[in-house]
Amino acid sequence: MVNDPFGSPQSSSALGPSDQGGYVPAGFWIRFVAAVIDGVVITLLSYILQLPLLFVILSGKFGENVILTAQVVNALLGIVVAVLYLRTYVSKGATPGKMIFGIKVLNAQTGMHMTFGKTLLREWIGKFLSFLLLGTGFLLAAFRSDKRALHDLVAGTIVVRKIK
Amino acid sequence: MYLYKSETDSSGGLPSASSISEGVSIQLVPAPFLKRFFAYCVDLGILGAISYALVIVGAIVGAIVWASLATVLPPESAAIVGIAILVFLLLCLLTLAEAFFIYQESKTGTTPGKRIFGLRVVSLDGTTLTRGQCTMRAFARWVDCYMVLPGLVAITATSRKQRLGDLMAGTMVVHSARLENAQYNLYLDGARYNHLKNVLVPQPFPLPACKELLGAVFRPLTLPGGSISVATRETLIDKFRPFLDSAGTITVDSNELLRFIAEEAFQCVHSKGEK
Repeated sequence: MVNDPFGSPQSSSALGPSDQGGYVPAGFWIRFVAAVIDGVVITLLSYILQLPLLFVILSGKFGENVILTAQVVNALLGIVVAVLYLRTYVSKGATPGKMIFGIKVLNAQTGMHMTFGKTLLREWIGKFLSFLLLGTGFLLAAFRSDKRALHDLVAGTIVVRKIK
Repeated sequence: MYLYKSETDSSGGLPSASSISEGVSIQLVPAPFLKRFFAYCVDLGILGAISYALVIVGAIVGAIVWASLATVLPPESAAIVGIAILVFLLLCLLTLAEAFFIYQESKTGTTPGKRIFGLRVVSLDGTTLTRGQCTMRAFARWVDCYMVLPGLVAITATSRKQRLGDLMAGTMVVHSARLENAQYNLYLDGARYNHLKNVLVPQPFPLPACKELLGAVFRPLTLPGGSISVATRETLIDKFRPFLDSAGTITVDSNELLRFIAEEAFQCVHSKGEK
C-alpha cells in the first residue's frame, strides 16, 4: 500500500455531483486518425506474418502450385488478422488505434462492450453500407450531435472518447 | 519516480528485484514478449501515419525545389541535387522515428503503444530514466528489432527479458496489469477506482444485476447532459450495498460510490465475458 502509486487518496470533491462523467461522443476526425493508425498497424502485422511465406516462395522448392497455395494461405492469414483485430472490440472495447486516443465503442443501450456478432455487424455489414453510399455513412458522424455514423446506427453502438 | 508494485499473487516468484530511492525493495514484472511486440507495432503504426503525411508534403515541396533548380543547373548536378533531396527526406523520417521513441520514453517512460498495453521502461538502478539511456535504447533498436534475431535471443535468454538495448542502457520493460486495466475505466478515474477497491473490497456482483445497472446508468453517467436523481441513485446503490465491505470508516460521495459500483459492474461483466 505504501509503495502503491494508486494508493494515495485524492480529494473526493474532484468528483462532485456536478461531474457528468469523463466521456463524450468521439468526433469524426479523431476517429479518422485512429482508423489510419489501425490501417498501418494491420498492414504491418500482415507483412510480418507474410514474411515466412515469401521465403518459401523464393526457395523454389515447392513446385508449380506454390503461388496459388501462397495466395490461399495469405487469404487465411488475412482472416486471422481481421478476427484478432475484431476480438479486441469484445475484450477491450476498442482497437489499438482507438485505445491511443482513449476511444471506446459501446453498445448504445446497455453501455457494455459489443458482442462478437455485433462487431461483425458494425465492422462488415455496417461499414460496407456506409461505404456503398459513397462514404456519406461515415460522414454522418460529423453532423450528428451524438456522433453516430451509419454503421453505428445499424449496429446500435456509440463511440465515446475520454476527456482529460 | 514511478515504479509499480507487482501483482505478486498472480505471478508468483519473480526473478528480478530492484530498490527504489526510499530503500524499499519492489519486484518488477518483466513485460511479456507479445505485449512488447504489439506495443511496438502500434508505435510503428503511429509513426507510419505521421510519415504518410510528411512524405506527401515532402514529396511536393522536394519536387518543386528540384524542378526550379533543374532549370538553372546542368543535368549532372541536377541529378545529384535530386538524390540529395531524397536522402534528406529519408534522414528526416529516420530522425523522426528515433526522436519519437527517445522523447516519449525519456519524458514519460512509456510510448503511446506501450501505454495501452500497460508497459513502462524503468531504469534498473532505481533512478529516473535519463535521455542518454533512451538514446541508447533507440539506437540499439537497429540491431534488436530490425535484425530480429539478436533482440529475440536476448529477451528469451535474460531473466528480466531485456533486449540488447536494455542491457546496454541498464533498463528493463515492466508490465503492470493494474496500469493496463485502469486506463479502460469508463465511469471512474483509474487511481480513484483502485483506491476505493482497496477500501470497499467488493464481492463479485451477480451478472443480471450488473447488466440492469449498466443499462440504467450508462447514458446518464457518461454522456453530457445526463443526470440521475438522488432517489434513483440511492435505490441503485442500495441494491449493491450487501456486496461492499463498507465497515471501514470511509465517507464516499453517493455519486462517486455509484460510479465505483458501475465501474465494478462493468468489469465483472467483461471479465466473465472474456473467458
